[in-house]
Amino acid sequence: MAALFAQDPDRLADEDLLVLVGRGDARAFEVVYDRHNRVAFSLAFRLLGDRTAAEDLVQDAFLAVWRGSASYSPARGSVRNWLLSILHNRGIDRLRTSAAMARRQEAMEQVVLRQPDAPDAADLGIDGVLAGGVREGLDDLPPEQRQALDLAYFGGFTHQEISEMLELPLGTVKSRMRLGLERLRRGFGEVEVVR
Amino acid sequence: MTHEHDAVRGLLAPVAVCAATEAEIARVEAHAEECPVCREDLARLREGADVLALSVPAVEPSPGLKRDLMATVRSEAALRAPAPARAPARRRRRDWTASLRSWPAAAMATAVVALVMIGWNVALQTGDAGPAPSPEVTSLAVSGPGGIEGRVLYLPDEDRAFVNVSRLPRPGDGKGYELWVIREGQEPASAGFMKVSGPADAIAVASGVRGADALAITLEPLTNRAAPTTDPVVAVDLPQRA
Repeated sequence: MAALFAQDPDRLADEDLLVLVGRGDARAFEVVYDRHNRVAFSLAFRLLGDRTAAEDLVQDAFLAVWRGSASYSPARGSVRNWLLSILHNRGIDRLRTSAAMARRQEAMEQVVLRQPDAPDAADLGIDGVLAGGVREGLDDLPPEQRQALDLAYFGGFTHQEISEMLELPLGTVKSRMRLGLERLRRGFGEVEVVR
Repeated sequence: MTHEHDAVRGLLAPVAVCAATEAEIARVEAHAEECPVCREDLARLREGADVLALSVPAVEPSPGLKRDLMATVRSEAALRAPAPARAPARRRRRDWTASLRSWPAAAMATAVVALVMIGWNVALQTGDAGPAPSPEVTSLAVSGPGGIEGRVLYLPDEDRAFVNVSRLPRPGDGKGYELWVIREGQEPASAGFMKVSGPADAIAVASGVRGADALAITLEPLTNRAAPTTDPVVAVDLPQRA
């Protein structure tokens, strides 16, 4: 542990940085922020569609990491994915507030009508191998599976709501979600590069 | 396999993408505790969901986001630092509430309910600072009605104070929490509106606080700048130097 403290935080892996963060090391936390703020903000902006709301959400998520780094478990995946899952959960909570219902409706229409943007993983600072996996996984996804996942993951709709929205049996919606997630994982999960 | 197992298996994908209700999530988590098959299946599906998070177009946050976040983090890091055994700064009680005449006198008795103060001086951790004197930092615990709690980090040498308060009631449209610097015999000076950092958290950095008697927070219309118009939600004495 003493060796960990002696090293330049910029050279440490995220998992080691979280050990330092848990001991109140603000510099280690800053390195984590610098590495992942863009991908976090991009997801927040995609969820909420508003810069101010997205920045509040990102701040909320990073403070949760700062204050709760002890709850991180490598078994859940990389630090980045842990951060993004915190952000996503909190973002969905905000999407589901009554005040956001109108915005959700609008977002849902956009999700249904437009083709997904091409991911710009390189700009997000994501490793090249990983970026390739993201593109491959998304390109392989059948449109009906992508639609179900977009409505759920980015729209904040429940599987019941999506079933009613698309006038599909509940089992069909759940099946499309599962098949889509399995495809994405196959195209990506095994090649993830953990910093 | 049981009926419950089959039912939960159908919910794993919705749970992985946050498309389940709270009751469904609780049901899945309870079952997954006991069922390694579903637990591993859920973990795999969540790996698929992680890909979605990385698929979004890149958007750059503003530099102010890092500045605000790191201000909070550094203030909390200082609070976590161990406190050396030093005598607390001498407190000179002043009747600063006389400065709050613009607030209704009858309300003051109940409004200044906070003022739970735990004062201790800590030295800023300066690494290889050597024998040079460390800046003085005083951490003050704040509490108020309805479970309001927080911290004030008072740095007289830097003439600043970091204020972090949680569990504040929602301010409502067009309103916010304004921080005031109180000096005996003077009108309260606004330190600006607090920035909401979460569902019920608010932070602020006040400057020009050296030698002030207290800090107070009031709920105000966002256009307010001149003087407090409502009773303080929370207030805290600042320690006086010898």
